[in-house]
Amino acid sequence: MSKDGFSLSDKYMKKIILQFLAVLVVLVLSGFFLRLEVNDLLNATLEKMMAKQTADLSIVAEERFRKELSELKLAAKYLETEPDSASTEKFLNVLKMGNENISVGLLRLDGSPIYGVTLSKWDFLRSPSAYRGNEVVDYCAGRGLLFAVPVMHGGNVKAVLYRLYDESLLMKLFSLAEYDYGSDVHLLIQERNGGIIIPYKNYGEAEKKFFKDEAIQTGFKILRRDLEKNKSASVYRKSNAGRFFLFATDLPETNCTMIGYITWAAIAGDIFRIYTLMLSVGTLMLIVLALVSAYLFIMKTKVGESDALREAKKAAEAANNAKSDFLANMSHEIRTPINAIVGMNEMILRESQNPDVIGYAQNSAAASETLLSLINDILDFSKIESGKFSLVEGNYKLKDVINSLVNMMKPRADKKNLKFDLRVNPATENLLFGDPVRIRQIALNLLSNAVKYTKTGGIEFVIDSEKISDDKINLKFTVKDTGIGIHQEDLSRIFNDFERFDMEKNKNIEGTGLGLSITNRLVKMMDGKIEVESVYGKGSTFTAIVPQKVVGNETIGKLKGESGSAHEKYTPAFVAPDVNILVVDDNEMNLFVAVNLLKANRVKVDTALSGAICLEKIVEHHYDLIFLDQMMPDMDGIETLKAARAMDNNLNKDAPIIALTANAVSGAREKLIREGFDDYLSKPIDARLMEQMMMKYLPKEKLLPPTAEETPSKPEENTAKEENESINVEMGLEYCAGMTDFYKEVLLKFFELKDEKQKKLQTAFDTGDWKNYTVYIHALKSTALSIGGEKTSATAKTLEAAGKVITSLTSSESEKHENEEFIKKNHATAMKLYDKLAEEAKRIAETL
Amino acid sequence: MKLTGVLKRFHIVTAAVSFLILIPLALMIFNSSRTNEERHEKVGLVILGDTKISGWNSAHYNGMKAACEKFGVELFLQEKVRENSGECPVAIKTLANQGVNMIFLASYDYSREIKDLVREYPNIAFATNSAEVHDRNLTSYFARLYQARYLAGALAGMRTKSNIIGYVAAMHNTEVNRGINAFTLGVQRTNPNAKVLVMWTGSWQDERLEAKHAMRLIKAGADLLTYHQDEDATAQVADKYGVDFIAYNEILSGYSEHYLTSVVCIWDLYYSDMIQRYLKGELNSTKNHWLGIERGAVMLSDYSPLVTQEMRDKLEMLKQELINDRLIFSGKIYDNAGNVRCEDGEAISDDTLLEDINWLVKGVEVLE
Repeated sequence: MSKDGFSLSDKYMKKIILQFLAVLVVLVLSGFFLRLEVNDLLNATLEKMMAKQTADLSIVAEERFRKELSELKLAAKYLETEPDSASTEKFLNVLKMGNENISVGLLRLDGSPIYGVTLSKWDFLRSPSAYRGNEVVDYCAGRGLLFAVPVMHGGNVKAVLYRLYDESLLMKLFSLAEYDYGSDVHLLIQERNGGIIIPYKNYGEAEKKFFKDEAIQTGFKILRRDLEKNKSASVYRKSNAGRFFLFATDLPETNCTMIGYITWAAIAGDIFRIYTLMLSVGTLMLIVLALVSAYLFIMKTKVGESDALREAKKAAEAANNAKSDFLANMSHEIRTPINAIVGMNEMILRESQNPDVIGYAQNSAAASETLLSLINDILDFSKIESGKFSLVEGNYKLKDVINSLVNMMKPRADKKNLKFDLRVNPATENLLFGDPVRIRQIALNLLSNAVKYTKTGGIEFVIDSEKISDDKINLKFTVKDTGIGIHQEDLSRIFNDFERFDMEKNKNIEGTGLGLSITNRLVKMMDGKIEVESVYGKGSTFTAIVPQKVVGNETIGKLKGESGSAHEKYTPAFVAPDVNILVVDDNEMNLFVAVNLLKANRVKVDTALSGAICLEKIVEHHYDLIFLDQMMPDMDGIETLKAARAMDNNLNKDAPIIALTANAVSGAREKLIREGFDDYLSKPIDARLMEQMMMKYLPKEKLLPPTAEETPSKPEENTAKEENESINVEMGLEYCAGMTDFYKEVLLKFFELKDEKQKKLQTAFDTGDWKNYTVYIHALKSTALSIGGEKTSATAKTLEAAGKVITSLTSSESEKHENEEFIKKNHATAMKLYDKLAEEAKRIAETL
Repeated sequence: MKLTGVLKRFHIVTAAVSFLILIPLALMIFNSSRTNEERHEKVGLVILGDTKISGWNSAHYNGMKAACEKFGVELFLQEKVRENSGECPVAIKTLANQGVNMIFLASYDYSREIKDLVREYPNIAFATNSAEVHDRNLTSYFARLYQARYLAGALAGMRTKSNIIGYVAAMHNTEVNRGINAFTLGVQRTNPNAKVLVMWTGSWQDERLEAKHAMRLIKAGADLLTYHQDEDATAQVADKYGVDFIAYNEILSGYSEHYLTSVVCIWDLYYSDMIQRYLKGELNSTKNHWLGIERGAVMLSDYSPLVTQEMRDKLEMLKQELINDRLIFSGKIYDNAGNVRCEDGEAISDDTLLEDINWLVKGVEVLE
């Protein structure tokens, strides 16, 4: 996929680049087109602007002409009064203004001068208009500009007064300097439709050359054409001499055309900075476009990738959720049967007299514990992973934690023949604030690993602290072993999840590989640190340093490294015959375990299989304590609790209610307390914890010290003499759920039925009816055991086994014979035991 | 999935680029359409009669139409607008609403009627062929028809045997008087003994009266008739009676050789000049604008075979004189009451000719 994907992507990248280049070319072309368009547009606009300005120029010129004419008219008015010739001459001299280049004259109608010189009709074509009484402005190339007005006699014209300005004076006359753009502009005057252009300013070789340029000539032709319809006109031309705007305007009521030209730069120079602006903006836009395209492309790709990633993440999350769900379910589902196993084991350990059985049960209990710890590891890990893990902090005694650790680890070390060396700094603060469960877990994990990976030698557990501040210490656990050690290169990885080293070598070592990872995380959560030193093959030293608050002024003092034997025979801490306890659980096995665990304390136990039944019972009876399972179908513990608290007819409003929960999640426990439970007890039920719980919550006056009766007799005392069958009352009572009356009844019944049953047995023995004999002897085995007749029951069991062999179709003749002999030999003993058991039963029944 | 992604992206880019290109293109087209927008000029013509009937009205309309076509100007016509009836102001308002920029009032009395109205339209350039009223945006516009009258008079002076020339004239106003005077001066140029008999009709259009007067003039001994009327009733009478006549205002057809020539104005040229001046913003720059024979604005139409080559040469010579600025109304001129109207070495000014000719030159007799 990846290779194909790459080549595909390369191919398309090429395509995209080509497309991009194509777009670029189009953009550049359109840019050029745009430039041309803008050029044309701007030039057209400037042409218009220039034309308007030129029109203004013409208006200015017109004003000047009017002024000139009105001056002349005034003079003409004076002349109408027919002054004498001397005055006339004097007056006309004044009009000359003493300028050589100005000529003034007074003409008769036939053109002959009264004063001054005659004017050539061919030079001044418009001059006859003056004879018709009109004012005339007339330009003659080479001669100059003529102003002429009629001198009237009534409605008739009798003479014409003129003033002629020489060409050289025109500039001054027009006084158009203010319209001068500086040296860039060149103004000229021309006869209307005339071909010869006579500039009146700066006319030199450069101008001649300029006007000879074909493009310029064409430009003036265009101007002339435009002037046919317009007051003024302007045109942009590009010539060899450069770029120019040409402009022209006809001066009204004259034969003059004013023309001029100005360099392109003088007009457009600044405006055309827009080019640079457009170019930069265009380039900028192009770059932005390119960047945006690239960005879009990358985003698109990324979106595609992130889509895939998201899907993968979704799948992973789903898998993770499934895992979490699975783990949570597993937690519950596995804990429930373990609960039963642990409970049953506890029962065996309490009740069994047989050292072999006790050994088996101990192994089973140890295995269960391991299983439980594995489950707990996994659970913890899943909780940490999902971020649901939180510390439950409170005040605790470090001593208790250490004691429990030692109690737990010492036996394990002993079992492996390892020396367990506990060294506690007696000055260590005892009363601390923190999460004791997790502190214990940290140390336990380190210790468990030490025990697990050490074959010979010993483990050293050092507890110490150092003061950080007045109320804070660094609690330091050091666990040193002489185990297999860790390779130097693996040291950095040992806190990784599921990491286990030397798999080949350690495959017989159980564990999830999560222990150190969890420990590390726990330490981190507590703002502590964990360190490891190790020499491969020699051993490791783990040091966990956890800051804890100090809440009391008490030191830990001396601690014993030794604490009890591997298995202490259970002794109840108290008895409370007047106490009523209700246990609510939907699982009958759990109920059975709970009931049996409570048996030793001689409390009266009632059970309920559901929340609903619980609610019925609390109305009918008063209980001193209620154990309420949290997870039940239909109505769970919390709902039941709330319903119970809300009920008016509840006789047990004051009774403490303790939650039984298989959910070890810390938050869940907190939640239970918040929901109104007085306390919680996690399943599988720890008999000691349960007992402690009862001691805490039951009324003190009802708790009595255990009597001798409750103290189990020592095994050697318990072992009955050969012939003497003694009844194990405790066992018998147990089978009767601790009910003495019931037990008495059972005992009496046993005694009463003895003769009849023995007769039947005897008959079957005598007639060799092994089939019936086996049935009867089986019944004896059970009934004897149910009243506590262990010896009789055991003997009956051997006979039953023999009988089974005889009656079995698969048994050989010799086997049958052998077993027949066995029965014949032991039958009498069994019957003797039966007699004694019956008598004993009668005797006990009478004493009860 | 990668392929479709790339294709999808390409579509987006294509769309974006097309968009980027199309928008400026659209703007460019929009822009260039704006720059190409020509100044659109509209000209209005207000006229007295029906432009479909041959005569003054059709001559003006056709001339105006030709001129407008020449300059690409749109023409709006308001015809049959009677004088002094209040119709002219309405016509002007209508034209203003149609957005015209220039209005030509093609009858003599309109200007008096609307002299206050023109100020309400300062952005419309008005021109009229009457010299009675002027304003900043109202200019009088004329052709020097009297120059052609002068030539016609010269022809009449050469042609008459009875030395009596009849003249059917509309009104005793400056325009008509100027024509009679120029004609008479022309007659006297070629035939100092001839006299001109004038009869007034008092109307621009009164065929019956015109015909009646024409017949009276013939009876009075006139062997050549001319007229100053909008239509050609006089010509019809003269032709009918076998009397030479010189027509006015249009080139007639279907007449005998007694139709010597016509005094005509070249209206195309006249209106072209006016529209060009308007376009150049010069229309209202003077109060009067007079086009003369030197521009070819007026002339005599093709001569009848009765006009001899000698006559034609003489007429051509006189025409050249005029073109070379010979002033008709200059030198010693007496009116028919014996008053000196112009001294030697003087010339009657254009303003007087346009506005103030209430006399008839020596040699004119009015037949009551």
